[in-house]
Amino acid sequence: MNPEERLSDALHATLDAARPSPDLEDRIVERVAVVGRRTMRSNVRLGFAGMAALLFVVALVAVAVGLRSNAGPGSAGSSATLAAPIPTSSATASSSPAPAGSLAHFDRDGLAFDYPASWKTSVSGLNMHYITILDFLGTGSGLATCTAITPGPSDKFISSEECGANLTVGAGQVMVELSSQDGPPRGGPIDPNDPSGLDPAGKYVTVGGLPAIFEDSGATLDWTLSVPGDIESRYLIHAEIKGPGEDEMRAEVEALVASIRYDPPVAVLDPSDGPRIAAIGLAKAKANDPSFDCFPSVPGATATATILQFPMYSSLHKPLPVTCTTAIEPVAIGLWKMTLTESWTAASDRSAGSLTTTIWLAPDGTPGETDGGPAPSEMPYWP
Amino acid sequence: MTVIAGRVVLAARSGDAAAFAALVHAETPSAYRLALSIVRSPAEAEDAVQEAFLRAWRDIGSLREAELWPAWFRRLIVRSALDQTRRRPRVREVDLDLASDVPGLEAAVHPADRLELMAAFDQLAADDRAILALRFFSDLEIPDAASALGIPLGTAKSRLHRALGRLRDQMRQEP
Repeated sequence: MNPEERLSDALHATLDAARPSPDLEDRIVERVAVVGRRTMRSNVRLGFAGMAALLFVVALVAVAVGLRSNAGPGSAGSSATLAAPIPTSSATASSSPAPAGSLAHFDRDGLAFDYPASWKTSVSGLNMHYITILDFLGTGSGLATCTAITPGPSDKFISSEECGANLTVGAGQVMVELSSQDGPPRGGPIDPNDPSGLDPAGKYVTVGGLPAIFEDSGATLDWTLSVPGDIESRYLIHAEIKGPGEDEMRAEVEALVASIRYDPPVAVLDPSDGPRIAAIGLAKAKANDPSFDCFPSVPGATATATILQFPMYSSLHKPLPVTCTTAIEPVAIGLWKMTLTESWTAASDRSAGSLTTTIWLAPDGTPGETDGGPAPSEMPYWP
Repeated sequence: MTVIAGRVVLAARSGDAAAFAALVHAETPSAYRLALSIVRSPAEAEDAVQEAFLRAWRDIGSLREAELWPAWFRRLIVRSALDQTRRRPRVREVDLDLASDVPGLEAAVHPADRLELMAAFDQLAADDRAILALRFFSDLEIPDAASALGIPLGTAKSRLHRALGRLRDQMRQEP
């Protein structure tokens, strides 16, 4: 039985018999019954009755917030209870109708763009799991709400509130939700050359000069934007449109996206500066981890060495002669991508192969995220 | 992951709470085990499962195809479990005696070896446990494990290699 089979065996032996608490499923179903669904925001055709209902809910929420703010911190109950939704933002009406075709300017949270001056805007800042809702814009309404939960004595719920965003888009309305996303870890920026980075409905585009992903499902449009200087984070733009007038509203959303600029602007890196940055970055990497010692400080140069460890791997059980190369290139999001490759030839007890490690460097050469590329199918002299 | 009839997913997607409850009952045991493999604490695993289902209920309207449910929900489970480990200090409540309670496997590997292996596994970072569990417990191919983690295929391959290396390192350190 090889080590992987042993691990599989141990995991199954330990976990196959594991069972959750008998009441877990019921507890989940109970909670599901009282939390809202994101689908509330889609395909809601508001007639008069619907709008009246929405206004009633907003009024209830306002009353609940008022009661909450007056009740003070000692008013929380000790048993499991659900409070009314707490709005963290809501649409704010413009002070006066804007002339048709005129534009307003948005410049906040690192993004700047133009949008129809007739649209309403609101600031959210609601921080959810990996996603922070930044703003709502449009002619419908957007509401980021949290439902407060006071756990009871035997309640294992870890959250004190459940949060979500609801867009209400009536006939002839459009809403745009702007969010930022800081996880889960992706290991790299949006790469237009990587087909695995796309869902089937997605395609690579350029927004604000940086790679982005666009998904068009007709009634909804979604853009995933790069974040300058950050390989893990993204901006998310979600737009919902309800006819009549889809073409015009879609053109407005597309014009908004086309006008996007990053503020502050993305750092422009001079490729000719690469050798200096590589030397800085490698020196810092070597100071922290001697397994980087074999890589030459001059990009394009080749060095040979006999190693006992790959970067970030455990030690090998036998010395391995390798050839090491360093490459560096600026990437669009304003970082340097330093690619370190160790390759080895075949021998009687190993196959030829190579291993690549990527270090993302700040404009001044400071190492940031470090990640691996495709690993060889067979690691030589693996413990 | 349990195979769920597509019509149940479709009904849940359309807002049918009873259909979603059926999903909860069908998926909770396997979801719990996957979460437990990552967080290594029964209480945190239950919290992760709850959070994943609540997010699933909130967002299932965005699920384009019913066939995508298993992978989509698995991703929610993994995300919630990893978030649990980042949210607060680790709590160790692992009942390692479970290994010797499972009949039929003792002949393949001595229980003491399993205990040693799982003790080393517990010492790994949550990200390492996640990739190892997806590959060797959920028996996913690496592209599917990469999808569950939301990372590129190449990164998943290198993480898997590194996680195995760190597991071997841990086993050498175990008394």
